Amino acid sequence: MIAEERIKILKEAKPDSWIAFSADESRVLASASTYLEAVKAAEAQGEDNPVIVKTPDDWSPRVFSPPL
Amino acid sequence: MKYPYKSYPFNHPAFPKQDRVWRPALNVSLIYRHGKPCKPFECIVDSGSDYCLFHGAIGDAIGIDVKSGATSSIKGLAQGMGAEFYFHKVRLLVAGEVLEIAAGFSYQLSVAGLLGQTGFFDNFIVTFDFTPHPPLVELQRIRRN
Repeated sequence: MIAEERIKILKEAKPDSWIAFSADESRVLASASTYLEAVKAAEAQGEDNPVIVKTPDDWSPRVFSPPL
Repeated sequence: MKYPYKSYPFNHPAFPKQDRVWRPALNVSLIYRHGKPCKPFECIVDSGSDYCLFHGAIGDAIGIDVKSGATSSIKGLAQGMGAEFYFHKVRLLVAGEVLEIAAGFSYQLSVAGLLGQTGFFDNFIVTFDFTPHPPLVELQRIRRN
């Protein structure tokens, strides 16, 4: 997946959501409000090894040392 | 092993021409006790974090009773209240290695996970290379006898 596509997907995703990408990260399979829901939705589409990404509450600049 | 940085949206009025940032991020998995590894999730490589920290939802998914762990409030850059973390021993699967670590779990984490000093940086020589585009993070396992 090219950077532009990934950015578009992340930008359009709900804040504080969990996104399931295909194992090769080329496709987005599902978006859910919990990690487990995202995993189940990906498995329902036949992907046994999804990569799960969590979106933050917004995309403002961050220092990742907690609190976040 | 070399891993390309990943792109993330970015939005700040001080940088109107910048719509993205590149961050060192790795897909990892966790195992708790004799359970199965969870599905891979994306973590930021964060040298500013003292420990490896993961979202509480990942802990729930691998069968940890998250709030039963030793608790600690971890503070960040700004003064004030910290986020509450609960520590548990897990196995971290990263870069083809399996590491026994104590990691903090919190439901207040804004991302799925952070790979910090204790548990990650003490197990790898980590090189950040901005020469190529996208930048690369390179990991070499530290072997101790």
